[in-house]
Amino acid sequence: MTDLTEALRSSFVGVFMRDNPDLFPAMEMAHFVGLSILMGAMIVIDLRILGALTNVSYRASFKLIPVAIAGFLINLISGVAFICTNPALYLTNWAFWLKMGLVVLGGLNALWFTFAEHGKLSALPDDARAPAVARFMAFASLLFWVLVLLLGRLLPTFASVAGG
Amino acid sequence: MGFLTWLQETEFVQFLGYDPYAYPIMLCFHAVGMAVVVGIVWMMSLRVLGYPRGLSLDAFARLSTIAFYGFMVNFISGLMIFSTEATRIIDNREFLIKMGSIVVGLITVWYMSRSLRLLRAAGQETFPVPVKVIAVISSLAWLIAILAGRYIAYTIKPPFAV
Repeated sequence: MTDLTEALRSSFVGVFMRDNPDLFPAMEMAHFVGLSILMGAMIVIDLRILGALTNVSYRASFKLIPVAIAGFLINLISGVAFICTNPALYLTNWAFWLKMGLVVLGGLNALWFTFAEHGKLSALPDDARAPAVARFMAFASLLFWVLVLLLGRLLPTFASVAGG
Repeated sequence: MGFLTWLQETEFVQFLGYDPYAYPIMLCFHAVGMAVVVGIVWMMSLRVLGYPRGLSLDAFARLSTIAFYGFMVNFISGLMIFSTEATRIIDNREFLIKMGSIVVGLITVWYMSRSLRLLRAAGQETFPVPVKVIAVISSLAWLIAILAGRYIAYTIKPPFAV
């Protein structure tokens, strides 16, 4: 782990972030913007599948998937920048690893949905109910992303080393 | 300043400011509420601007209600966080920018929802240009609220950290 910590610390991104201290707050702002974009799009898509938004076209709601991906990418980039700035703060923190585990689960859930359910649901009429598997996945999606958000917010509280 | 000093010194607010768990829990509520409110407002604005075409305006009846609950969560958690540092934050520049943006954000969202209802009732799908302009202003107002809110943490540290 110390090798990885050192490699990330001395990486171009790590050095650049620490040389330009204003970048960290800027990246934090981007991270909040990205999470709001991701959550907003997922709320519409998942609530449609769950049946909370009735008589709304599945196909039209799925056009928000690229919007969700854009939000996720903003957070991937800003997130990597945080880690490289001070890797020890994250790599020694159990809340960080739990958050990463949930990000992977959220990603796999989205991938599984894309290949197994997206096409089927797109063909459904607006007033049809989504199959149970799809509804379960939509519920899991909302749960995973909210937990990711909460763990991210709690990260500094559980840090075992002093933060920056 | 008498009221704010009194508020900040009350036993409950002292607990909120100095308990190691109370503060992060308030921040958690504030972060989830933010994502719900701003996320939904941004999706609503996007729809007003014309994307995704074909997304029924009916969707926003339920979504507006959810955004309202999200706002209440943030109003309450925000008031609690405010109380812990009331005397210091009341004239903080970033805080005032954030409050101003939220006022603009609320007025524009109210206008947008009203147009949405009218259009829905008329069975129309495309929004007139003035409503689109309001949607852009609203999205920017909520963006500034997030940026300024995030920046407050760099100008004022929470009570337990001072």
